[in-house]
Amino acid sequence: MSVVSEGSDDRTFIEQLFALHHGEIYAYIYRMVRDADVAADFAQDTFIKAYKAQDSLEDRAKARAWLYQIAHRIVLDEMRRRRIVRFLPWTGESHGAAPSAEHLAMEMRLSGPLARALARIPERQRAALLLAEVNDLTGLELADALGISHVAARALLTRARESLRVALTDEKRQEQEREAAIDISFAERTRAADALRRTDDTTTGRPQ
Amino acid sequence: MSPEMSPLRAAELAHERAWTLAAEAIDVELGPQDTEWLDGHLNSCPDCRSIADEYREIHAELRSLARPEPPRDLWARTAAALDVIDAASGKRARGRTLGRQASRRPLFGTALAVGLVLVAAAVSVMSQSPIVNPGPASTAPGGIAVVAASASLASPTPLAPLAVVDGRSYWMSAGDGVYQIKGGVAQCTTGSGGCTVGSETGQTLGSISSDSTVLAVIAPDAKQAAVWTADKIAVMPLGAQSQTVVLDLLTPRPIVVATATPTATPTATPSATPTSTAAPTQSAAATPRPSAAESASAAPATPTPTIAPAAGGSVAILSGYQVVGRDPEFSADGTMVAFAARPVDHTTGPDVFVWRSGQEQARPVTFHHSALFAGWFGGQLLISEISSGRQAGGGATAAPSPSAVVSPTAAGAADAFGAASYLFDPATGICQAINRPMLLPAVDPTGRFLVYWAGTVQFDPVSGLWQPGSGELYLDAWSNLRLDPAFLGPDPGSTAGPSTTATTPTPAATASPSEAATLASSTAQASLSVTEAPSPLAVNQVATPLASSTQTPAPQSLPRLLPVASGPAAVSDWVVRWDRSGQFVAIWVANPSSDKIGRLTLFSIDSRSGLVNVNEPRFAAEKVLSSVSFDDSTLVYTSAVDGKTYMQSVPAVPPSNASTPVPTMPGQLPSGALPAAASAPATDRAGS
Repeated sequence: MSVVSEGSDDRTFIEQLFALHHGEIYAYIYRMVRDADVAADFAQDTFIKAYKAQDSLEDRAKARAWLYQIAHRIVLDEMRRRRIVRFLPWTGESHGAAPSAEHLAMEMRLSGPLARALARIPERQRAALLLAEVNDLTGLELADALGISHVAARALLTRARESLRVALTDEKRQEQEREAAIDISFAERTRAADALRRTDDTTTGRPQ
Repeated sequence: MSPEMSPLRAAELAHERAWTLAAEAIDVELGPQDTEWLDGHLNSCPDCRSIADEYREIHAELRSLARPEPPRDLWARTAAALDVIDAASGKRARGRTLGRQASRRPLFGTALAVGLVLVAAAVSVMSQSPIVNPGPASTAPGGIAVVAASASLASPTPLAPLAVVDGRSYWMSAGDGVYQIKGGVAQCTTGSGGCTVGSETGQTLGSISSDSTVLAVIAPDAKQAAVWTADKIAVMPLGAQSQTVVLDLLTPRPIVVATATPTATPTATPSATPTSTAAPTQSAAATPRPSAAESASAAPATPTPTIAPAAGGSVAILSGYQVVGRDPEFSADGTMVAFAARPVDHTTGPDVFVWRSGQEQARPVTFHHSALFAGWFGGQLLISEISSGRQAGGGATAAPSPSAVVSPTAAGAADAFGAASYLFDPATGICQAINRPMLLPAVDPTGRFLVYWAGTVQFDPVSGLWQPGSGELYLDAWSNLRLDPAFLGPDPGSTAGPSTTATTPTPAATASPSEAATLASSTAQASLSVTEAPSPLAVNQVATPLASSTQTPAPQSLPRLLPVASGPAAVSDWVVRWDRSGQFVAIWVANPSSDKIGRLTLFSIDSRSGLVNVNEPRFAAEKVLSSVSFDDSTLVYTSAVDGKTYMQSVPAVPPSNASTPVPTMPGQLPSGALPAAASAPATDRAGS
């Protein structure tokens, strides 16, 4: 895949790489970190580091896997340093309070079960799965990008598939439970509103 | 479906092989023999067939995921950064320093060696930031030591050491799923003035194998480490004869439904012994309420027996939980670890857990699913809770006295927002509320001062957590605060003190969490202000010693706003570190757009008068990573600019000979014996 001209100078080379690959590199990082701003920062870092280290790229035909390798390491290094969740707890979920179910419903809308299951499996497994499935890396590219042997990459991928299957099963089950909880909560509130309306006269008893 | 259910080991192996082959078949074409065997097995095993089908469905689903689009300005930003590199040409010049050693490493070695280079340099504490010129040429005795991380792509961004203990550095290297905790003392050569400690010289003290990203902290004595991933926390010994801990196998995987999350141990209840002065009502009869997530469907009555000390004494102290907020931290004597965590499925908010040496599991000490670990103070824990009118330890009012314990319905204060901090003694279960709204207080080891945060919090619907929005850090004296009996136990409702937040101007709320939860936006806000918060003008006042004052100075000059951020109310992520003497406090504040790079400011506090000159920090540095620490009287921080870790000795400051010592307040003092800090008595508004 010698799409990048062999004789181009450093800066031109990196610009060509950017044009060809920035979309998929960004998409990979985004799926790993699930944060658009962080993903943009890391994608930028990836190309900057590639620019600084391009002497280390012996075969420009392998530039794609090499870029993924840089991105992968940035992501894993940063995940080690980043606090996964920074600060304050939310306050629902105490003794029958409804907000928890509502809150979870909201969170569910923001990400489907697959995305949440992906977020739950170990990072290296997630990386292998995303690179192979979503980003279409070949077996050899995958091994290069992960910096491990071909055999190890395949084993990692197999573990990842099983982890994701279990996590997804669990997520789907939880989703059903949450929906049921919301239904119950809604039903209870409707009943409460009905009761209020019955006891009240006409003006204030409006259900919300 | 699970292999344990198969009667015969041979059948288990057959199923496992089938799953493996079914997964592999997604990626590669199986050989004819494997294909034939798999087909045969799937025909005779409906469960295996359904799993194979699931693999294919997930495969299709993954392929159909929408691709996120990069921001439009990505190229502009990247090009600008490349221009800076070109203009500076720094990447070549940098090799002339000791950094050259690092950059010569193979860029794509299989191991992520984290080379560390120690350089001694002389930068006076009060002069320029060592980041400006950390070159070895400026070596002089008594200067600072500089640790340079490898510039190799193997470690593309600077890695800060886990800790520096007695001059010995500890760091973590990672590669191919193996994480190694290493330690090393700098090897100095007199000629060059440089000292190095690298992967070659570092001693491996522990290694962890995991598919998940592993983070670690080490105990103060560096004899053990707490390591954690997104769903598990373990404690492991550190030593020369360490064995590799396979973290993924240390307990059954929590995502398997049949393995209960271990928090459901009823024994985890703290003794919750009320203080003798005031017993929260109902607490005596409180029965432990398991805080297990709904998903923990297995019988929680007994601890999961599969958790057993693994090789080398490593033990998974909690699984199925995700650390939230501050990193876990060992107590000063290394016998306990505390942290806040919530279930990985987010079914509840976080609680604070404590693990004691010898125990198999960490146990929750809070039960309202809204607690955060702030830090240790001796053998006691500082805990912050944020709540909607349920707990009212904060506020300008007194904390809920037993008489203020009101109806569990708490309806009248449902919209009130409270943030309270507590001092909790895990040995006795005694809990005391701090009578001022604050988050994540950090108390100096001598118990005289503390730094805490106050500001506006926002509800972030994505993480499902309240996040500090904009706020400030304040320095205060313990003696300005009052501690009141409180209760963090599991009894539902008995701690409700909604009236206190409802009747006080602070903390004020503009939106209740429940409202926020129903809004699919992050606009919810609540403000949390400090009683008698000093105006920003206080920044401009230079504290002067109170010569021969007969008064206790601290309550008059404190709290003080600490000008540590780039602008007003710009503190949303921070780290506070006290040195052992309580004389220096190092404060790291994240830059507005970053959660990893920030500004470091070091203040010294006059040990007698308690006065701090906030306008003249002893030291400041920009673009520093958050891993700031003290090793005795040495400040250790890592620059994000050059990736080097700086060890800067902090000279003791002679105390001013004026004024009286600031009284310490490590424990509870009788109510009323101290300035009440504009407290109003709690008002009982039960049922309102």
